[in-house]
Amino acid sequence: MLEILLLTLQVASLATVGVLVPSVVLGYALARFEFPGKRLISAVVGLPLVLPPTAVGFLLLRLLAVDGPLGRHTLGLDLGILLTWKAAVLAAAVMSLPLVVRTVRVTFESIDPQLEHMARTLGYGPVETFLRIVLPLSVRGLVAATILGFTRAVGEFGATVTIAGNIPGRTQTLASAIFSAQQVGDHRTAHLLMIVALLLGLVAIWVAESLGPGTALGNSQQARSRRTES
Amino acid sequence: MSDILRVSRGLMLLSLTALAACAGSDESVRMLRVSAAASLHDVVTELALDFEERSRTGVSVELNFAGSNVLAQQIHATPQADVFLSADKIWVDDLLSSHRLEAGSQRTVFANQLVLVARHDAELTIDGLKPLADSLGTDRSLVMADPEAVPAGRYAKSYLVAEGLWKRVESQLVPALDVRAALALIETDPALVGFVYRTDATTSDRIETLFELPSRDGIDIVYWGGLVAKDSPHGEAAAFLEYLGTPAALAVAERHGFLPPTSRPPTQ
Repeated sequence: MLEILLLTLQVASLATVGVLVPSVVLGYALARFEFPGKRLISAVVGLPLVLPPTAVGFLLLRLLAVDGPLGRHTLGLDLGILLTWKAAVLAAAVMSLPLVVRTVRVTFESIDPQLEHMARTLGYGPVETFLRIVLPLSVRGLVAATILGFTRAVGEFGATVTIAGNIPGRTQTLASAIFSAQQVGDHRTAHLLMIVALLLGLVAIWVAESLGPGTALGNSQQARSRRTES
Repeated sequence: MSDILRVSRGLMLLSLTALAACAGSDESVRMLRVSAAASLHDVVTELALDFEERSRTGVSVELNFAGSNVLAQQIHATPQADVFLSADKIWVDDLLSSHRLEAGSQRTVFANQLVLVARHDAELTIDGLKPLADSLGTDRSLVMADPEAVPAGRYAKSYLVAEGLWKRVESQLVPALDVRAALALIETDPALVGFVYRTDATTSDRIETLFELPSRDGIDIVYWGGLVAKDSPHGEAAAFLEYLGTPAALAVAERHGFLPPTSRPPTQ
Protein backbone atom coordinates (compact mmCIF):
# COMPACT_ATOMS: atom_id res chain seq x y z
CA MET A 1 0.00 0.00 0.00
CA LEU A 2 2.76 2.42 1.01
CA GLU A 3 4.71 1.33 -2.05
CA ILE A 4 1.76 2.21 -4.31
CA LEU A 5 1.27 5.60 -2.65
CA LEU A 6 4.97 6.46 -2.86
CA LEU A 7 5.25 5.49 -6.53
CA THR A 8 2.10 7.51 -7.30
CA LEU A 9 3.52 10.58 -5.55
CA GLN A 10 6.89 10.18 -7.23
CA VAL A 11 5.41 9.77 -10.70
CA ALA A 12 3.06 12.70 -10.22
CA SER A 13 5.76 15.03 -8.83
CA LEU A 14 8.20 14.18 -11.63
CA ALA A 15 5.47 14.74 -14.21
CA THR A 16 4.50 18.05 -12.61
CA VAL A 17 8.09 19.30 -12.44
CA GLY A 18 8.65 18.22 -16.03
CA VAL A 19 5.54 20.02 -17.22
CA LEU A 20 5.94 23.22 -15.23
CA VAL A 21 8.82 24.96 -17.03
CA PRO A 22 7.60 24.29 -20.60
CA SER A 23 4.12 25.34 -19.46
CA VAL A 24 5.36 28.70 -18.11
CA VAL A 25 7.25 29.38 -21.36
CA LEU A 26 4.37 28.25 -23.55
CA GLY A 27 1.72 29.88 -21.38
CA TYR A 28 3.55 33.23 -21.48
CA ALA A 29 4.09 33.00 -25.25
CA LEU A 30 0.40 32.22 -25.80
CA ALA A 31 -0.70 35.00 -23.45
CA ARG A 32 1.52 37.78 -24.76
CA PHE A 33 2.63 37.18 -28.34
CA GLU A 34 1.10 36.67 -31.74
CA PHE A 35 3.02 34.24 -33.90
CA PRO A 36 2.32 31.93 -36.82
CA GLY A 37 0.91 28.57 -35.74
CA LYS A 38 -0.23 29.93 -32.38
CA ARG A 39 -3.69 28.42 -32.69
CA LEU A 40 -2.31 25.12 -33.90
CA ILE A 41 0.08 24.86 -30.95
CA SER A 42 -2.68 25.79 -28.55
CA ALA A 43 -4.95 23.15 -30.09
CA VAL A 44 -2.33 20.38 -30.07
CA VAL A 45 -1.42 21.07 -26.43
CA GLY A 46 -5.11 21.01 -25.55
CA LEU A 47 -5.78 17.68 -27.28
CA PRO A 48 -5.20 15.40 -24.26
CA LEU A 49 -8.02 17.30 -22.55
CA VAL A 50 -10.59 16.25 -25.16
CA LEU A 51 -9.27 12.86 -26.28
CA PRO A 52 -10.10 9.81 -24.18
CA PRO A 53 -6.99 8.99 -22.09
CA THR A 54 -6.80 5.51 -23.60
CA ALA A 55 -6.59 7.08 -27.07
CA VAL A 56 -3.70 9.27 -25.93
CA GLY A 57 -2.12 6.13 -24.48
CA PHE A 58 -2.42 4.24 -27.77
CA LEU A 59 -0.94 7.19 -29.69
CA LEU A 60 2.05 7.28 -27.32
CA LEU A 61 2.34 3.49 -27.50
CA ARG A 62 2.49 3.56 -31.32
CA LEU A 63 4.99 6.44 -31.17
CA LEU A 64 7.34 4.57 -28.83
CA ALA A 65 6.77 1.09 -30.30
CA VAL A 66 9.86 -0.80 -31.47
CA ASP A 67 8.90 0.00 -35.08
CA GLY A 68 7.31 3.40 -34.29
CA PRO A 69 8.70 6.89 -35.08
CA LEU A 70 10.53 7.04 -31.72
CA GLY A 71 11.29 3.31 -31.53
CA ARG A 72 14.49 1.29 -31.71
CA HIS A 73 14.22 0.57 -35.46
CA THR A 74 13.94 4.27 -36.31
CA LEU A 75 16.27 5.84 -33.75
CA GLY A 76 18.84 3.04 -33.62
CA LEU A 77 18.67 3.03 -29.84
CA ASP A 78 16.14 1.91 -27.30
CA LEU A 79 14.79 4.75 -25.17
CA GLY A 80 13.61 2.10 -22.72
CA ILE A 81 10.49 3.99 -21.74
CA LEU A 82 7.61 1.58 -22.37
CA LEU A 83 6.40 -0.47 -19.41
CA THR A 84 8.65 1.38 -16.96
CA TRP A 85 8.07 4.16 -14.40
CA LYS A 86 9.30 6.61 -17.05
CA ALA A 87 6.28 5.77 -19.17
CA ALA A 88 4.03 6.49 -16.17
CA VAL A 89 5.69 9.91 -15.80
CA LEU A 90 5.30 10.58 -19.52
CA ALA A 91 1.62 9.62 -19.53
CA ALA A 92 0.90 11.75 -16.46
CA ALA A 93 2.83 14.69 -17.93
CA VAL A 94 1.04 14.59 -21.28
CA MET A 95 -2.36 14.35 -19.62
CA SER A 96 -1.74 17.22 -17.20
CA LEU A 97 0.03 19.51 -19.68
CA PRO A 98 -3.15 21.11 -21.11
CA LEU A 99 -4.51 21.92 -17.65
CA VAL A 100 -1.25 23.49 -16.53
CA VAL A 101 -0.70 25.48 -19.75
CA ARG A 102 -4.25 26.78 -19.69
CA THR A 103 -4.11 27.87 -16.06
CA VAL A 104 -0.71 29.50 -16.55
CA ARG A 105 -1.89 31.26 -19.69
CA VAL A 106 -4.99 32.71 -18.00
CA THR A 107 -2.82 33.83 -15.10
CA PHE A 108 -0.46 35.73 -17.38
CA GLU A 109 -3.32 37.17 -19.43
CA SER A 110 -4.84 38.61 -16.27
CA ILE A 111 -1.73 40.70 -15.60
CA ASP A 112 -1.93 44.17 -17.09
CA PRO A 113 0.67 44.39 -19.90
CA GLN A 114 1.06 48.10 -19.02
CA LEU A 115 2.98 47.05 -15.92
CA GLU A 116 5.52 45.28 -18.10
CA HIS A 117 5.78 48.28 -20.45
CA MET A 118 6.40 50.54 -17.47
CA ALA A 119 9.11 48.27 -16.12
CA ARG A 120 10.77 48.26 -19.52
CA THR A 121 10.69 52.07 -19.79
CA LEU A 122 12.22 52.24 -16.32
CA GLY A 123 15.18 50.24 -17.54
CA TYR A 124 14.38 46.59 -16.80
CA GLY A 125 15.42 44.08 -19.46
CA PRO A 126 12.85 41.53 -20.70
CA VAL A 127 14.15 38.75 -18.44
CA GLU A 128 14.31 41.02 -15.42
CA THR A 129 10.79 42.24 -16.15
CA PHE A 130 9.53 38.67 -16.30
CA LEU A 131 11.32 37.61 -13.11
CA ARG A 132 10.64 40.72 -11.02
CA ILE A 133 7.25 41.87 -12.27
CA VAL A 134 5.37 39.06 -14.02
CA LEU A 135 6.36 36.09 -11.86
CA PRO A 136 5.66 37.70 -8.47
CA LEU A 137 2.24 38.81 -9.72
CA SER A 138 1.38 35.32 -10.91
CA VAL A 139 2.56 33.27 -7.93
CA ARG A 140 -0.92 32.21 -6.90
CA GLY A 141 -1.93 31.22 -10.41
CA LEU A 142 1.26 29.24 -10.90
CA VAL A 143 0.80 27.43 -7.61
CA ALA A 144 -2.80 26.65 -8.58
CA ALA A 145 -1.58 25.36 -11.97
CA THR A 146 1.00 23.20 -10.22
CA ILE A 147 -1.54 21.68 -7.87
CA LEU A 148 -4.04 21.16 -10.68
CA GLY A 149 -1.38 19.42 -12.78
CA PHE A 150 -0.24 17.34 -9.83
CA THR A 151 -3.73 16.13 -8.95
CA ARG A 152 -4.46 15.29 -12.60
CA ALA A 153 -1.20 13.33 -12.68
CA VAL A 154 -2.11 11.45 -9.49
CA GLY A 155 -5.44 10.34 -10.96
CA GLU A 156 -4.16 9.43 -14.43
CA PHE A 157 -5.14 5.90 -15.43
CA GLY A 158 -6.09 5.34 -19.09
CA ALA A 159 -2.88 6.49 -20.75
CA THR A 160 -0.71 5.20 -17.91
CA VAL A 161 -1.97 1.63 -17.98
CA THR A 162 -1.53 1.57 -21.76
CA ILE A 163 2.12 2.63 -21.96
CA ALA A 164 3.42 1.84 -18.46
CA GLY A 165 1.30 -1.21 -17.75
CA ASN A 166 0.00 -2.12 -14.31
CA ILE A 167 3.00 -3.92 -12.82
CA PRO A 168 2.75 -4.28 -9.02
CA GLY A 169 5.85 -2.82 -7.39
CA ARG A 170 7.08 -1.12 -10.56
CA THR A 171 4.40 0.80 -12.43
CA GLN A 172 1.27 0.19 -10.39
CA THR A 173 -0.11 3.54 -9.24
CA LEU A 174 -3.07 4.30 -6.99
CA ALA A 175 -5.40 4.51 -10.01
CA SER A 176 -4.29 1.23 -11.57
CA ALA A 177 -4.34 -0.55 -8.20
CA ILE A 178 -7.96 0.56 -7.74
CA PHE A 179 -8.71 -0.77 -11.24
CA SER A 180 -7.12 -4.14 -10.41
CA ALA A 181 -8.97 -4.47 -7.11
CA GLN A 182 -12.29 -3.63 -8.76
CA GLN A 183 -11.72 -6.06 -11.62
CA VAL A 184 -11.48 -9.01 -9.27
CA GLY A 185 -14.10 -7.78 -6.81
CA ASP A 186 -11.62 -7.21 -3.99
CA HIS A 187 -13.82 -4.62 -2.28
CA ARG A 188 -11.67 -4.32 0.83
CA THR A 189 -8.57 -3.30 -1.09
CA ALA A 190 -10.58 -1.13 -3.47
CA HIS A 191 -12.18 0.78 -0.58
CA LEU A 192 -8.90 1.21 1.23
CA LEU A 193 -7.23 2.57 -1.92
CA MET A 194 -10.15 4.89 -2.58
CA ILE A 195 -9.88 6.31 0.94
CA VAL A 196 -6.18 6.97 0.30
CA ALA A 197 -7.03 8.65 -3.02
CA LEU A 198 -9.74 10.73 -1.33
CA LEU A 199 -7.40 11.89 1.43
CA LEU A 200 -4.72 12.76 -1.11
CA GLY A 201 -7.22 14.80 -3.12
CA LEU A 202 -8.51 16.58 -0.02
CA VAL A 203 -4.97 17.48 1.08
CA ALA A 204 -4.16 18.86 -2.39
CA ILE A 205 -7.33 20.97 -2.46
CA TRP A 206 -6.74 22.12 1.12
CA VAL A 207 -3.20 23.22 0.23
CA ALA A 208 -4.52 25.03 -2.84
CA GLU A 209 -7.20 26.80 -0.81
CA SER A 210 -4.90 27.71 2.04
CA LEU A 211 -2.59 29.59 -0.32
CA GLY A 212 -5.20 32.29 -0.62
CA PRO A 213 -8.90 32.85 -1.15
CA GLY A 214 -10.05 31.45 -4.49
CA THR A 215 -6.59 30.64 -5.74
CA ALA A 216 -7.48 29.06 -9.06
CA LEU A 217 -10.11 31.41 -10.36
CA GLY A 218 -9.74 34.35 -8.00
CA ASN A 219 -6.43 35.34 -9.45
CA SER A 220 -7.90 37.13 -12.44
CA GLN A 221 -10.35 38.93 -10.14
CA GLN A 222 -7.53 40.02 -7.88
CA ALA A 223 -5.59 41.28 -10.84
CA ARG A 224 -8.62 43.18 -12.04
CA SER A 225 -9.26 44.78 -8.65
CA ARG A 226 -5.59 45.61 -8.45
CA ARG A 227 -5.92 47.33 -11.78
CA THR A 228 -8.95 49.38 -10.68
CA GLU A 229 -7.18 50.34 -7.45
CA SER A 230 -4.21 51.65 -9.36
CA MET B 1 7.71 34.37 -4.84
CA SER B 2 8.44 32.50 -1.60
CA ASP B 3 5.37 30.32 -2.18
CA ILE B 4 6.66 29.25 -5.55
CA LEU B 5 10.10 28.60 -4.10
CA ARG B 6 8.66 26.54 -1.30
CA VAL B 7 6.47 24.46 -3.61
CA SER B 8 9.18 23.95 -6.19
CA ARG B 9 11.73 23.04 -3.54
CA GLY B 10 9.31 20.43 -2.22
CA LEU B 11 8.71 19.07 -5.69
CA MET B 12 12.43 18.95 -6.44
CA LEU B 13 13.05 16.98 -3.27
CA LEU B 14 10.26 14.57 -4.12
CA SER B 15 11.52 14.06 -7.64
CA LEU B 16 15.08 13.47 -6.49
CA THR B 17 13.90 10.77 -4.11
CA ALA B 18 11.84 9.40 -6.97
CA LEU B 19 14.86 9.28 -9.26
CA ALA B 20 16.96 7.62 -6.61
CA ALA B 21 14.26 5.08 -5.86
CA CYS B 22 13.59 4.28 -9.49
CA ALA B 23 17.21 4.10 -10.63
CA GLY B 24 17.93 1.14 -8.40
CA SER B 25 14.95 -0.96 -9.34
CA ASP B 26 15.41 -0.74 -13.10
CA GLU B 27 18.52 -2.86 -13.47
CA SER B 28 16.60 -5.98 -12.66
CA VAL B 29 17.77 -9.49 -13.18
CA ARG B 30 15.93 -11.05 -16.05
CA MET B 31 12.51 -11.47 -14.64
CA LEU B 32 9.90 -13.67 -16.16
CA ARG B 33 7.34 -11.15 -17.32
CA VAL B 34 3.73 -12.26 -17.44
CA SER B 35 1.05 -10.03 -18.96
CA ALA B 36 -2.31 -11.23 -17.70
CA ALA B 37 -5.94 -10.20 -18.17
CA ALA B 38 -7.09 -8.00 -15.28
CA SER B 39 -9.73 -10.53 -14.20
CA LEU B 40 -6.90 -12.98 -13.41
CA HIS B 41 -5.28 -10.60 -10.89
CA ASP B 42 -5.73 -12.62 -7.71
CA VAL B 43 -5.30 -16.12 -9.11
CA VAL B 44 -2.21 -15.33 -11.21
CA THR B 45 -0.61 -13.36 -8.35
CA GLU B 46 -0.99 -16.42 -6.13
CA LEU B 47 0.21 -18.82 -8.84
CA ALA B 48 3.25 -16.66 -9.66
CA LEU B 49 4.36 -16.80 -6.01
CA ASP B 50 3.89 -20.55 -5.96
CA PHE B 51 5.83 -20.91 -9.22
CA GLU B 52 8.71 -18.86 -7.77
CA GLU B 53 8.80 -21.09 -4.70
CA ARG B 54 8.84 -24.28 -6.75
CA SER B 55 11.45 -23.01 -9.20
CA ARG B 56 14.96 -24.39 -8.84
CA THR B 57 16.46 -21.55 -10.89
CA GLY B 58 15.29 -18.86 -8.47
CA VAL B 59 13.21 -17.16 -11.13
CA SER B 60 11.17 -14.15 -10.14
CA VAL B 61 7.94 -13.33 -11.90
CA GLU B 62 6.83 -9.81 -12.75
CA LEU B 63 3.14 -9.36 -13.45
CA ASN B 64 1.33 -6.83 -15.59
CA PHE B 65 -2.47 -6.59 -15.39
CA ALA B 66 -4.72 -4.78 -17.84
CA GLY B 67 -7.53 -5.46 -20.29
CA SER B 68 -6.52 -8.20 -22.75
CA ASN B 69 -6.77 -5.75 -25.67
CA VAL B 70 -4.41 -3.29 -23.98
CA LEU B 71 -1.88 -6.03 -23.23
CA ALA B 72 -2.05 -7.22 -26.84
CA GLN B 73 -1.35 -3.67 -28.06
CA GLN B 74 1.63 -3.50 -25.69
CA ILE B 75 3.03 -6.75 -27.07
CA HIS B 76 2.55 -5.37 -30.59
CA ALA B 77 4.57 -2.31 -29.57
CA THR B 78 7.35 -3.96 -27.60
CA PRO B 79 8.24 -7.59 -26.85
CA GLN B 80 8.72 -6.76 -23.15
CA ALA B 81 6.69 -9.71 -21.95
CA ASP B 82 7.35 -13.43 -21.97
CA VAL B 83 3.92 -14.91 -21.37
CA PHE B 84 0.53 -13.54 -22.42
CA LEU B 85 -2.67 -14.66 -20.68
CA SER B 86 -5.77 -13.38 -22.46
CA ALA B 87 -9.44 -13.42 -21.48
CA ASP B 88 -10.39 -13.60 -25.13
CA LYS B 89 -9.03 -15.85 -27.86
CA ILE B 90 -9.22 -13.10 -30.48
CA TRP B 91 -6.20 -11.31 -28.98
CA VAL B 92 -4.13 -14.47 -29.01
CA ASP B 93 -5.10 -15.08 -32.64
CA ASP B 94 -4.35 -11.44 -33.47
CA LEU B 95 -0.82 -11.69 -32.04
CA LEU B 96 -0.25 -15.09 -33.64
CA SER B 97 -1.17 -13.81 -37.08
CA SER B 98 1.40 -11.00 -36.79
CA HIS B 99 4.05 -13.41 -35.41
CA ARG B 100 4.25 -11.67 -32.02
CA LEU B 101 3.39 -14.94 -30.30
CA GLU B 102 5.30 -18.12 -30.93
CA ALA B 103 3.33 -20.27 -33.35
CA GLY B 104 1.97 -23.37 -31.66
CA SER B 105 2.60 -22.11 -28.12
CA GLN B 106 -1.02 -21.13 -27.54
CA ARG B 107 -3.07 -23.20 -25.14
CA THR B 108 -6.18 -22.93 -23.05
CA VAL B 109 -5.48 -22.09 -19.44
CA PHE B 110 -8.65 -21.71 -17.38
CA ALA B 111 -12.34 -21.75 -18.15
CA ASN B 112 -15.09 -19.62 -16.75
CA GLN B 113 -18.84 -19.91 -16.81
CA LEU B 114 -21.81 -17.59 -16.85
CA VAL B 115 -24.21 -17.81 -13.93
CA LEU B 116 -27.55 -16.14 -13.29
CA VAL B 117 -27.53 -14.22 -10.02
CA ALA B 118 -29.92 -12.14 -7.94
CA ARG B 119 -29.94 -10.64 -4.47
CA HIS B 120 -30.62 -13.03 -1.61
CA ASP B 121 -33.74 -11.09 -0.59
CA ALA B 122 -35.22 -11.49 -4.10
CA GLU B 123 -35.94 -15.08 -3.02
CA LEU B 124 -36.15 -16.39 -6.55
CA THR B 125 -36.01 -19.88 -7.93
CA ILE B 126 -35.19 -19.78 -11.62
CA ASP B 127 -33.47 -22.89 -12.89
CA GLY B 128 -33.07 -22.38 -16.62
CA LEU B 129 -33.16 -19.97 -19.54
CA LYS B 130 -36.79 -20.65 -20.39
CA PRO B 131 -38.07 -20.00 -16.83
CA LEU B 132 -35.88 -16.89 -16.84
CA ALA B 133 -37.57 -15.56 -19.97
CA ASP B 134 -40.98 -16.33 -18.44
CA SER B 135 -40.15 -14.50 -15.21
CA LEU B 136 -39.11 -11.23 -16.84
CA GLY B 137 -41.66 -8.49 -17.04
CA THR B 138 -42.50 -5.01 -15.83
CA ASP B 139 -41.33 -5.87 -12.32
CA ARG B 140 -38.17 -7.74 -13.27
CA SER B 141 -35.31 -6.88 -15.64
CA LEU B 142 -32.27 -8.76 -16.88
CA VAL B 143 -28.81 -7.23 -16.46
CA MET B 144 -25.76 -8.21 -18.49
CA ALA B 145 -22.57 -6.63 -19.75
CA ASP B 146 -23.15 -4.79 -23.04
CA PRO B 147 -24.16 -7.67 -25.38
CA GLU B 148 -22.72 -5.90 -28.42
CA ALA B 149 -19.29 -4.97 -27.10
CA VAL B 150 -18.24 -6.89 -23.99
CA PRO B 151 -17.39 -10.62 -24.13
CA ALA B 152 -19.51 -11.47 -21.07
CA GLY B 153 -22.53 -9.82 -22.69
CA ARG B 154 -21.76 -11.42 -26.04
CA TYR B 155 -21.67 -14.87 -24.45
CA ALA B 156 -24.96 -14.28 -22.60
CA LYS B 157 -26.63 -13.16 -25.80
CA SER B 158 -25.32 -16.22 -27.67
CA TYR B 159 -26.94 -18.53 -25.12
CA LEU B 160 -30.28 -16.77 -25.40
CA VAL B 161 -30.11 -16.64 -29.20
CA ALA B 162 -29.29 -20.37 -29.31
CA GLU B 163 -32.43 -21.09 -27.27
CA GLY B 164 -34.53 -18.77 -29.42
CA LEU B 165 -35.26 -16.58 -26.39
CA TRP B 166 -33.31 -13.42 -27.29
CA LYS B 167 -36.26 -11.61 -28.88
CA ARG B 168 -38.38 -12.26 -25.80
CA VAL B 169 -35.90 -10.91 -23.24
CA GLU B 170 -34.55 -8.03 -25.32
CA SER B 171 -37.15 -5.52 -24.13
CA GLN B 172 -36.39 -6.26 -20.46
CA LEU B 173 -32.66 -5.92 -20.95
CA VAL B 174 -30.42 -3.59 -18.90
CA PRO B 175 -26.97 -3.47 -20.51
CA ALA B 176 -24.08 -2.55 -18.19
CA LEU B 177 -20.62 -1.17 -18.95
CA ASP B 178 -18.93 -4.45 -18.07
CA VAL B 179 -19.50 -7.51 -15.98
CA ARG B 180 -18.34 -5.79 -12.75
CA ALA B 181 -20.82 -2.98 -13.37
CA ALA B 182 -23.57 -5.57 -13.99
CA LEU B 183 -22.77 -7.20 -10.65
CA ALA B 184 -22.79 -3.86 -8.82
CA LEU B 185 -26.16 -3.03 -10.36
CA ILE B 186 -27.72 -6.36 -9.33
CA GLU B 187 -26.44 -5.83 -5.78
CA THR B 188 -28.52 -2.65 -5.51
CA ASP B 189 -31.96 -3.91 -6.49
CA PRO B 190 -33.88 -7.16 -5.77
CA ALA B 191 -35.96 -6.58 -8.93
CA LEU B 192 -32.91 -7.34 -11.08
CA VAL B 193 -31.46 -10.65 -12.19
CA GLY B 194 -28.38 -10.88 -14.34
CA PHE B 195 -25.57 -12.84 -15.92
CA VAL B 196 -22.06 -12.57 -14.48
CA TYR B 197 -19.09 -14.92 -14.48
CA ARG B 198 -19.04 -17.48 -11.70
CA THR B 199 -15.71 -15.98 -10.59
CA ASP B 200 -17.53 -12.68 -10.02
CA ALA B 201 -20.40 -14.35 -8.22
CA THR B 202 -17.99 -15.80 -5.64
CA THR B 203 -16.79 -12.30 -4.67
CA SER B 204 -20.15 -10.99 -3.49
CA ASP B 205 -22.01 -12.10 -0.37
CA ARG B 206 -25.08 -10.05 -1.24
CA ILE B 207 -26.10 -12.19 -4.19
CA GLU B 208 -26.87 -15.85 -4.77
CA THR B 209 -26.38 -18.01 -7.84
CA LEU B 210 -29.67 -19.22 -9.31
CA PHE B 211 -28.22 -21.46 -12.01
CA GLU B 212 -25.09 -21.99 -14.05
CA LEU B 213 -24.98 -21.99 -17.82
CA PRO B 214 -23.33 -25.19 -19.03
CA SER B 215 -20.73 -24.72 -21.75
CA ARG B 216 -22.10 -25.66 -25.13
CA ASP B 217 -20.88 -25.94 -28.69
CA GLY B 218 -19.57 -22.69 -30.03
CA ILE B 219 -19.70 -20.89 -26.70
CA ASP B 220 -16.49 -21.53 -24.79
CA ILE B 221 -15.54 -19.05 -22.11
CA VAL B 222 -11.85 -19.80 -21.93
CA TYR B 223 -8.64 -17.96 -21.01
CA TRP B 224 -5.83 -18.49 -23.48
CA GLY B 225 -2.09 -18.34 -22.95
CA GLY B 226 0.82 -18.01 -25.34
CA LEU B 227 4.56 -17.35 -25.42
CA VAL B 228 5.76 -14.01 -26.76
CA ALA B 229 8.03 -14.54 -29.79
CA LYS B 230 11.58 -13.30 -29.24
CA ASP B 231 15.14 -14.04 -30.28
CA SER B 232 16.21 -15.23 -26.85
CA PRO B 233 13.13 -16.51 -25.05
CA HIS B 234 13.14 -16.64 -21.26
CA GLY B 235 14.06 -20.15 -20.16
CA GLU B 236 11.17 -20.33 -17.71
CA ALA B 237 8.42 -18.97 -19.95
CA ALA B 238 7.33 -22.31 -21.39
CA ALA B 239 7.63 -23.89 -17.94
CA PHE B 240 5.28 -21.27 -16.47
CA LEU B 241 2.64 -21.87 -19.13
CA GLU B 242 3.05 -25.60 -18.56
CA TYR B 243 2.76 -25.11 -14.78
CA LEU B 244 -0.65 -23.43 -15.17
CA GLY B 245 -2.00 -26.76 -16.42
CA THR B 246 -0.74 -28.80 -13.45
CA PRO B 247 -3.24 -30.16 -10.90
CA ALA B 248 -1.71 -27.93 -8.20
CA ALA B 249 -2.23 -24.79 -10.26
CA LEU B 250 -5.74 -25.82 -11.31
CA ALA B 251 -6.64 -26.42 -7.67
CA VAL B 252 -5.68 -22.83 -6.88
CA ALA B 253 -7.66 -21.60 -9.90
CA GLU B 254 -10.73 -23.56 -8.79
CA ARG B 255 -10.51 -21.96 -5.37
CA HIS B 256 -10.84 -18.61 -7.17
CA GLY B 257 -13.91 -19.84 -9.05
CA PHE B 258 -12.27 -20.83 -12.34
CA LEU B 259 -12.73 -24.19 -14.03
CA PRO B 260 -10.16 -26.40 -15.72
CA PRO B 261 -10.25 -25.61 -19.45
CA THR B 262 -11.28 -29.04 -20.69
CA SER B 263 -13.92 -29.91 -18.15
CA ARG B 264 -17.52 -29.59 -19.21
CA PRO B 265 -19.84 -29.00 -16.30
CA PRO B 266 -22.78 -31.42 -16.44
CA THR B 267 -25.51 -30.24 -18.77
CA GLN B 268 -28.88 -29.61 -17.26
